[in-house]
Amino acid sequence: MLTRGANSPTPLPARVRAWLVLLALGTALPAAAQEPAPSPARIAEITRQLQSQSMIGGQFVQTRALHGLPRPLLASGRFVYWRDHGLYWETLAPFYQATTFTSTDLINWPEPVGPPQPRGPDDPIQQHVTGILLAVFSADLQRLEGLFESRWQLDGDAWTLTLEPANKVVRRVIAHATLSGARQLRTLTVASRAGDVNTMEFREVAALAGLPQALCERFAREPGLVCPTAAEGAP
Amino acid sequence: MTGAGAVCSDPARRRERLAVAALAVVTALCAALFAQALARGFVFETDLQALLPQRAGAALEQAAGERLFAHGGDRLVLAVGADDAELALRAAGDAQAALRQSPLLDVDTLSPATQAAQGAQLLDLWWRHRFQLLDPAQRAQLAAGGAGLQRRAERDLYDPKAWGRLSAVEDDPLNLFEQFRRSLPTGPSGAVLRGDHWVVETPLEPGRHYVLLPAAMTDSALKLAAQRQLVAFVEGIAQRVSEAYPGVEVLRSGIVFHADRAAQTARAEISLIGGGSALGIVALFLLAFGSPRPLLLSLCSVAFGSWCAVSVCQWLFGELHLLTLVFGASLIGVAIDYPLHYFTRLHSRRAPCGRRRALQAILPALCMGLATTLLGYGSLAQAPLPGLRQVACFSVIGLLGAWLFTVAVLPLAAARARRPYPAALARVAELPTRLWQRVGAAPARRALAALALVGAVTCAAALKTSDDVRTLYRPDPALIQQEQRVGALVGNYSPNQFLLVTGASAEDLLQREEALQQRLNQLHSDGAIAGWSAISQYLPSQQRQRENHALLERVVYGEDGAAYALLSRLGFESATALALSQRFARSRGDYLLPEEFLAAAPPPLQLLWLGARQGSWASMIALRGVADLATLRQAALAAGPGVVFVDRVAAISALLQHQSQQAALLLLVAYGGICLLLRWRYRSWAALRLVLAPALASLLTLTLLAAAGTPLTLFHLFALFLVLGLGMDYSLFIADAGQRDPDTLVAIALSAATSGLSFGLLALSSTPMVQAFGVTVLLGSAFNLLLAPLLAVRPGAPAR
Repeated sequence: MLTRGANSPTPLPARVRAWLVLLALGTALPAAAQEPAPSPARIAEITRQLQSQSMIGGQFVQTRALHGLPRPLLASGRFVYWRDHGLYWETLAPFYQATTFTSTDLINWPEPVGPPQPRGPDDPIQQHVTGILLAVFSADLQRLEGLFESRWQLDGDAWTLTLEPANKVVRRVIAHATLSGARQLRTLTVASRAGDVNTMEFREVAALAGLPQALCERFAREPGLVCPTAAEGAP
Repeated sequence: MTGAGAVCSDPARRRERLAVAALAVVTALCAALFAQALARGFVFETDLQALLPQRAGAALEQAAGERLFAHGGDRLVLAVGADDAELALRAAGDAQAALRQSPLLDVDTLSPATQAAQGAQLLDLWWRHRFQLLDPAQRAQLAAGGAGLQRRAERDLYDPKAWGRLSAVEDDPLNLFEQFRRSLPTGPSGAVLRGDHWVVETPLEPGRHYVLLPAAMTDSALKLAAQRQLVAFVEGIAQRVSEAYPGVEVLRSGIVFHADRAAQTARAEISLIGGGSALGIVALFLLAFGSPRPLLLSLCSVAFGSWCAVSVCQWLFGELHLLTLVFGASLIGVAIDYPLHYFTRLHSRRAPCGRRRALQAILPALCMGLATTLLGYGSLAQAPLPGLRQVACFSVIGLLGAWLFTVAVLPLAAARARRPYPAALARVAELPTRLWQRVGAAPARRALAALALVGAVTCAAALKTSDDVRTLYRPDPALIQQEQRVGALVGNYSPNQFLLVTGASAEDLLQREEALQQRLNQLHSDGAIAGWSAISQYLPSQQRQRENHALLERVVYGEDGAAYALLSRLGFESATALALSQRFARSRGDYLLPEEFLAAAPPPLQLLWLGARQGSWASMIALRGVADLATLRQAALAAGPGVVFVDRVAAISALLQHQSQQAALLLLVAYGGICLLLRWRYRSWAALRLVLAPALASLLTLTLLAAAGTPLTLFHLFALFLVLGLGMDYSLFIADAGQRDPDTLVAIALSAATSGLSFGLLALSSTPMVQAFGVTVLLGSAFNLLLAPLLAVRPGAPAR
């Protein structure tokens, strides 16, 4: 004969229950502490810090994992980002290749010294990619959030920003992107829809006070750009 | 034949009954035709080129031109400009949000994102056929051996630019598809995509950035009533934005703005002119006859005539051109003379008659007047141009109808004259006669002869003709300027000039276009055109696809192809290369076909393809920035058969010129015919003097126009027909009744006054063709009024 409580678990005394709940909460708390809800103030601080620099430069190591290729392609070089002028990306190994990305133009420098290649036809898809690159380096969060759905993760000084494309055109090209860094941008990973994953690691990134003339002139197609010397450029 | 001073003779009852019977028959006939037209639906033709005799191929040109025109007809573009691009973008964002509020506009269909999505379908199609597609630079490179392709592709792999690749490396190692895609024009040239907007900086206005906001009109906006609402809405937004953002300018472009402005001007003018003339005519009639019935009956007779003309012409021609309606109706305005003469006779001061006798008194002159006017307009019927023939037919039938109505109905329907016309009116009407009496007939005639000579010389020396299309419609200069500025930013294709290519089949057509491409590039580099767009750029002919495939096989995907070399260099497994070569082998003969392409192509490309028409296939090549028409024409001629350069503006000008020449010739023929009729009727060559009044009036009018530097257009010539008709009427009535007969003089004065009011006020219009008509009739009527009493001597009577 089955009595009422025979097959059901013995109800715990109320006090025990309460203690268990507290225990559960207690163990949950540290876990939550590892993933604090990113406070807008903290995000603003990070953005401000990144935006405060008008010129940064450093070295990069690019790893490109192509779909179907067991071994990734490696490239390395240096870059200079000059606010309101553009991003100069110079690959030194395995080939020499330099490009200046500006908001209106894409300048290819085939040789370390010499004139640029003539301007090609405008490509809206390319312009989107350029726009994203420049937004990343200038920490233009507003622009990025217009094109992507962003998710922040903070871990002490370090931060990670995951971007999922929200714009139709971008979605055709980029599957998702991730940025991470601390005081400076440290890595940028872009997974393209074609199936390759490009990872860029930035090393020795620092604010620059000025540029050598030759390098400065690579930010425009025509010579005649006013270049900040080491004395004038503000860190 | 009646003499000076009306003698009221008894009209023959039989003739009256005949007239009424004739009217009844005509009414019945026209009613039948009208009912038939109502049932079938009236067809009003508005295209000017329907006035031209149909050339073979003209229909195709017309259809093509209409497509280009219609493509822009349902959209508008706002360009938000500022020196600072960011400011312009912010202002544009606000403007776009505001534009979205209206149900009349669809902002998203034309946005770059939507267009890119549309383009995505096409991209997928191209990708499927990528082994048949190469751009000209690639073809040249591959034909030369393809050296450097591999190296370049490898280098590009390491470039951040390569993140924009749509295809995986294993599918397209040399990145050929990417290059092909990039070689094709996408948005406006010189434009940069910022967010979802094109931002353009043009060399015409350096330092200034414009954000383009295209919007399509929804179906509800295409109705006429919604037009005003839409324009007011857009203007409101433009103003708000300019005020909220100092330094920002909002330009507007779109056919709807022109149409709205034209409608507003027309409305204003119709109110002014229509209202003015209506008031004036009513006042005149009431002044002269003291009761509204004469006016009503006069209008009825003209309305009856018009109604007959519409019914018969619709039946005869199957359609009625709007131009015919407009000019034909005005020519019928001569018909109001008949009731006028009747009523002045009825309200005579000197010898009032009864209703029926009044008609009897003027019947001979009425008949001759009709005959001469019919001869005048009838001569237009001999024109080889359908347009002029229609006008002739409309006018002839309209006149006949009005005349018949006057003769049959007026004696029956007119009220007994309660009082004669005012004496003051008679005194005013007699002024020209008194003037000539003062001067003396002989000296006056000598002076006129001299004047005629001077006039002839002036005309011969100074009279210019104009076939400018702008006589038909003169757009508002401010609107046109904005239109041009925005056009330069957007890189619009010209709707009026394009190349029409025909071929025996779709393949033949595409090959012909491809053969043209080199010539077009030459024209581009010579500066004759700023750009061009042909469907063969996006859809190669099968022959070319075959060639492309062969080239790719030879250099890239065949044995020892460069693609496989690169794959192995990068470290791909051999299975990848094998899969690629298999895919390539399977693609042989898998051509991209027109039907497939057109289904995926965006609307701007679709409209270039006219398809199969009347046994041949046709397509258009759209042109941008046409600067040198002569070179283009030569190039089209040199390209051989199947390529035609179409210039609609030139075609319309040629049409106007042709019509003008014909009309001028036929005017002379009309004068000649009338001379012969007069000779026959009055059996003496002296009767030709009757034609002097309108002839001289026309000559003097032309002299004044020449002296003022106004070029002569087709519409001046149309007006001269009217001047002829009116002048002949005046001359004939005066000749019949005598130079002293006050009734006739009053009738003529009233006729000139009503002509002046109804047509002369047209001289105030801003549309050149209407203005031309009005000015000519005004001047011509005035001269007719002045000269008829002097020159219209009754044949056989001594000159006084």
